[in-house]
Amino acid sequence: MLGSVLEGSAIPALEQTIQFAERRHALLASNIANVSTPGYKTRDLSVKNFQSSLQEAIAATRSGDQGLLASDSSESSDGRSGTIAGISKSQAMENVRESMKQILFHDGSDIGLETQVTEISKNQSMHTMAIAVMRNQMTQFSMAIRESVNV
Amino acid sequence: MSESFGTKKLQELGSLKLHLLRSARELSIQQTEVMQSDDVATLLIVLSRKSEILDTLRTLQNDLDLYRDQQPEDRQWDSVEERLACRQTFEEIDRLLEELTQMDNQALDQMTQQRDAMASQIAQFATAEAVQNAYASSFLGSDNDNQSEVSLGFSLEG
Repeated sequence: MLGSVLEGSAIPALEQTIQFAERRHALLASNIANVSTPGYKTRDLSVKNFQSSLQEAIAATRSGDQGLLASDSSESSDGRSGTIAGISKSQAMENVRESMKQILFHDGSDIGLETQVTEISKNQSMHTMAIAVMRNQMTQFSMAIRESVNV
Repeated sequence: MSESFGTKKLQELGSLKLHLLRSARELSIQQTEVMQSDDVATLLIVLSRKSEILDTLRTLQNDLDLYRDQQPEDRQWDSVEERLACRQTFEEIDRLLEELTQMDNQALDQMTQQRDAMASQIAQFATAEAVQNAYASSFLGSDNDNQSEVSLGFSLEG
């Protein structure tokens, strides 16, 4: 199937790389947009973590080629089941994805991407509420203009 | 109610309206500053204070309804200076209202842009997550591996 065709190529690894680049770009763009915002803490994704995670995933995949990871239930000559250096192939790819979810704040604290999205969603709701109030206030000002008194 | 009292009341209402609009203008300036720092929670507090002012303004507008249909020349003033001062008050009111409308219009545009940018950011995250999961499941789904060499832009080798 398509899945097995894709997994037999570099596409999954490239896909992870593109995803990483996209997410990093979004964060860096946000840093640039907020460059003049007082108190704003720049954020980034750890390239080092991502690269080492991806390296592990690729190494795990290559080991699979050599028969170490023929299947999840298979056992290698050293008795480990589908693992390389104690990390399974699926765990290795999971680590790659996880490395993309950790945003590094340059003050040292880390916040997960999902938390960020939740915060953005919350913020968006508050924006919507503020817009509704502002529209209402605009209407009232416009009404006051129309109801001016000639002296 | 005599005409003299009427014009005194008109002056009084005008002064109060001017005072309210000046307060609203200060809040509009605060609103712009808060929006630039993207602090929506504080923005909502500022907006709620402004709403209180607008509620009072609404009541005041009702009191002014009485004068709206009057012909200006039919009113009796104690002095020409008094009328002039009142006229200046209402001219200042009109000017402030125009300014406030412009400020709020710009703020509304800015706010709408911020909200749309956020919506697009959320959509981007959702799409990225969906694509990532789709690839991940196809990649991890099969047990028979025949991986090829991977060449990326950066060094992956230990």
